[in-house]
Amino acid sequence: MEQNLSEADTTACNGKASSVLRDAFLAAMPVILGYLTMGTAFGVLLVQQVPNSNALWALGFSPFALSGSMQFASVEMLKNASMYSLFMTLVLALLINIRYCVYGLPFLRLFRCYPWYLRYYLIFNLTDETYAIEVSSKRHGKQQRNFFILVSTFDYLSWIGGTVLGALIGSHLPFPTDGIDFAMVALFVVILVDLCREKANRFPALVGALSTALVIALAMLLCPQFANKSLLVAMMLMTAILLAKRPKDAKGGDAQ
Amino acid sequence: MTLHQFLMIVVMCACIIFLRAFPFIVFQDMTKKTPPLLLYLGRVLTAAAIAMLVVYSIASVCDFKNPDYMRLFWMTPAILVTILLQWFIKNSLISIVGGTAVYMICIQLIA
Repeated sequence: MEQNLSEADTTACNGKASSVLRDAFLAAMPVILGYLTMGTAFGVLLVQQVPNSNALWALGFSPFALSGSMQFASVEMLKNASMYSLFMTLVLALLINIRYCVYGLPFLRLFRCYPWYLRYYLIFNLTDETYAIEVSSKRHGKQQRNFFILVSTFDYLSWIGGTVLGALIGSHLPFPTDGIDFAMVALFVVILVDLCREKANRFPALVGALSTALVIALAMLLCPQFANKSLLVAMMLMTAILLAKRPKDAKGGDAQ
Repeated sequence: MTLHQFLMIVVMCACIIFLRAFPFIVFQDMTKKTPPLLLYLGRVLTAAAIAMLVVYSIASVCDFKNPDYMRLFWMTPAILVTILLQWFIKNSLISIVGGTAVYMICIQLIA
C-alpha cells in the first residue's frame, strides 16, 4: 500500500510491540476523545428522546452499527418509529451511509493479504475517523497490520463505551467541556494538511472541500431538513468532477 | 423496545455492514489487477473525501440544522492554529490539542 504522505507521523516505530501500541494509542487519541464525547452525546440523546430506551439499546446497537451519523439519525427514527417503515429505514440508512462504500477502495489489495477474520474485522471498522487514520498511515508489513488492528480496537471500544456511558448517565451530565467536539475537525484538518504536502492531492482536496461546502450551503438555504443527506450529493458531485478531470493518458491511476 | 424498533436497528446495522464490505464484495475476484480507473478514484477520492469530512465536520460542529455562526466564526482561528502547527511542527497530537484548546477557550471564555 503506497501512501503519498510525507512525514505524517514521525513517532518512532521500530517494530517492538510496545512501541506499536504506543504509536497506535497516540494516533487514535483524538478519535478516542472524540468518540467518547460524541458517543456520550448519542447515549444521552437516545435515552432522553426515545421512550422506554435504556443503556442496553446502546450496548446492542453500537457494536454493530459503529456509525455516528447513522446512530444520531436513528434517534429521530426510533422516536417516531411508527412513521418509518422498514423499507424507508433501509433507504435512509443507505443514503446516510453511502460514503462508506468507497472507504474500502484504498485497502482492497492490502486487506486481501490478511486472514479472513482480520479482514472482516478491519473492513467492519472503517468509520470516517478510523479510515482517515489508516489511509494516512505509511507503515509497512506486520507493523502496519498491528497498527490497524490496534487503532480499530481503540476506536471501537471508545465508541461503544461512550454510547453506553451516555445512556447510563442520561440527563445528569455536568460537563464543562463545551467545544471539545472540535477535536474531530482538527483531526481531519491535520490529515488533510499532511495529504496536501503532496502536490497531486491538492486539486482533489480542493474539489472535495468546495463541492461539500457548496452542497451544504445550498441544502441549508433551500431545504434544511435534507442537510444531513448532503454528503451523498457532495460525494457524487466530486466524483463526477474528478472523473471529468481525469488525466488523458489515463493508464495512470498508479502514477505514484 | 417494540419488534418494529428492533427490526429498524437490524436493518440499519445490516446496511452499514453491507456498505463497508461493498468494494470487497464487488471486486472479489480481481486478485491480480484492479482497474486503473478504480485506482485513480481510490487515489483522488482519498484527498477529496478527507476534505469533504473537514467541511462536513465543521458544519456539524456548528450544527447546520440550527446554525450557530459564532461557533463557525471561532473555528477560523482554531483551524488556522491547527494548520500552522501541523505544517511546521508535524506532530498530529500537538496540532489537535492546540487547535481544540484555542477553540474551547474562545467559545467558553470570549463568546
